[in-house]
Amino acid sequence: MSITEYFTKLKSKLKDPSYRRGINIATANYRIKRKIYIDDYIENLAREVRKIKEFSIDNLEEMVKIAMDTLRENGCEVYLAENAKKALEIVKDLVKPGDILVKGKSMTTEEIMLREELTEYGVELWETDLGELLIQLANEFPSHPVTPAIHMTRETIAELLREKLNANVSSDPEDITRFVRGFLRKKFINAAIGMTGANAVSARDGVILTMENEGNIRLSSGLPDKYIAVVGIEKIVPTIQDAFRVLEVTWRYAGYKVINYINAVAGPSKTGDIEKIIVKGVHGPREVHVIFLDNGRSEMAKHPVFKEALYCLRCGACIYECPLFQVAGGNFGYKYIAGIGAIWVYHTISKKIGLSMAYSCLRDGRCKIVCPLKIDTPKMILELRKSHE
Amino acid sequence: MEEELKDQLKLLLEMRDNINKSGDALGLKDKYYDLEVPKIENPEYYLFTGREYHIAGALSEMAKYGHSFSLKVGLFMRKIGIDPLKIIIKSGVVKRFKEIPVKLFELLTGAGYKVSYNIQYDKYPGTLLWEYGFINDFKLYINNLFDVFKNLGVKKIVTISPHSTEVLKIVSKEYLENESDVEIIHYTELLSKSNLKFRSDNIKVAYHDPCHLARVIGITEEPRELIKRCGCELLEHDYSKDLTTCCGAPVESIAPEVSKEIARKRIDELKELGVDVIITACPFCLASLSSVAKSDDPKIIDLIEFLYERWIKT
Repeated sequence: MSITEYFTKLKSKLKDPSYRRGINIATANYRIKRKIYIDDYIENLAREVRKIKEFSIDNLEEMVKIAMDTLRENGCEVYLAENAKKALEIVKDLVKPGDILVKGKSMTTEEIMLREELTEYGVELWETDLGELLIQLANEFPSHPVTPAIHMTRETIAELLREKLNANVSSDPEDITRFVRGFLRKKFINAAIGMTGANAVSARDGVILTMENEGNIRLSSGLPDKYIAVVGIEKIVPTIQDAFRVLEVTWRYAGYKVINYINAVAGPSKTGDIEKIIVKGVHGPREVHVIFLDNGRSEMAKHPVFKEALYCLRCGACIYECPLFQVAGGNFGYKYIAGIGAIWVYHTISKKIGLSMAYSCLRDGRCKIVCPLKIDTPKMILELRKSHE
Repeated sequence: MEEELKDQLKLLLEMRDNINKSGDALGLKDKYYDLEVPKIENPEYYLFTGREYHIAGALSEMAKYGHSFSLKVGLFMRKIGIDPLKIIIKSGVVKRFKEIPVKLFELLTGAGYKVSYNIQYDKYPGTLLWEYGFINDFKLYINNLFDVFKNLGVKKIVTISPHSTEVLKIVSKEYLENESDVEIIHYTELLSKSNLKFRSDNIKVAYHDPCHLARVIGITEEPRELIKRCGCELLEHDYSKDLTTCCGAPVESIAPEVSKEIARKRIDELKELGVDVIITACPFCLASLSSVAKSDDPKIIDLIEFLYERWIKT
């Protein structure tokens, strides 16, 4: 995307009633839920999580080392990719054209253009999160990290499924969901590879934690023979207790009272039930591959101001509450959305688009107030502008 | 900065050049900004408008023709010896904005504060340079400004605009070479302590907290106390105080159509309360919200205007 394209896109949906309605409904619902689900207990927990993230990012190199060692001890294949290109090369070595790959929603894979690259390579890749599947089918970028298709109405969605998947569906949400369930079920069963991101990784125990409501990550990480986790190195925290704190704060600030499923993977599926001999690959994956992605993160971690961006849990609270997002939607972004997104885009995807986002940011500061970790995005935006005087 | 980006930020960069060349974002002369107020002997306080109401007024007027075009025409006119001021100054919007600091001067004086005003120290505070990261320009600018304060013996400054307040009170600390003992007071901090009397009014009002005043400076109660003294019913929106919503002004120079949508959304949000009047306390909020207000919307008015209308002079 060019700078001019970005600024054109930013203005493109201002007068689109169905796009704006989708965003209005989502933000209104979020506000209602937030009032109920954020209490003193969660606010205290969020303060603890801030300390956990501060420690983890200040000791990032050490965290990565410990996590890699323990995951290897657990029987995983572990890789450290310094950039997007390396990560894609590692993934391509693990798949082959024609494979069916079922995938959980992950901003980290969006960052490295994984879906586009693997599809080009000949892999039959399916996003299995309902919203993300819609994004895949529409060939768009997500509008929000938690609710990627919030800009689509039920009518748009039904039309999209009819057009792209020959679906015989009405615009009834129940009907749409039933169709997607039936369609993806076949893909889950026939998939050679499952892939997800991670919400947190415990370094001490070598455990990958993901959370979700739909059950698609359960199936993606449990059913195929091979499971690949693509994980940003900022997701590593010292212990599994820390990781659970991260998860709880994330789902509450994302607007959920509780999350349906938490998945924890430490290594390949195994049994010792036959003469105490360890055999891998019983019901779950025989192989577990963990690809840690740097892609600018260790540089951010060294920067006194930008390191704060690595604390981001991607709960999306700041995005729902961003006044610019509320009128422009995901067009105030490029995969990563809104003010904090500017910092992420700048460091991991595109300097010029990240900078363009930084200049369009309002710096009104509500993001900082609603952030569970009180990340000072306005300060980071100013720092980015300063560096391009 | 890449040329393609410079092209998108054209107006911003033009204003930066103007500030660096003439000390004024719009390239206008002191005459436009000077307040017609009486001279006060041995003042305790110095009124600092930061010229921001005047700038917001002029920008509102210029927006009618397109900002960038207006800036260019202004520069051209000056070159051929015509003063663009003469044209701008006649507009009703400009007159309205220019009167606001004068009204505040009267309110402060009426409340018994010995306040002086002088255009010599009342410069633009350089907010734009800082906000957009032109830090070397800003450093020079803010140090010069504080030197002027020092040379003129300005010790206690009363600010009007949230942005002047933020820059002088908070931001400057990081960039001043010599420590300054200048005290910065937002006008609501003085007026809320005064014994000014106001006519009671049986209307419903909402207060739109300017983002920087509420979230950065932390002033949310003083304006409300003043509004309540006018006897009207102040209705609160959930998205007020530190959760207040942007008025759209920050993105005005880069994407005016986006700015207008944000302003529109904020008016709709506050309109839900069923109020007759929306009061704000920032020249840019006032300009931004006013620019999209329709006849069936609540009236958009500045806190100073609101108080002045109801003030019972004794």
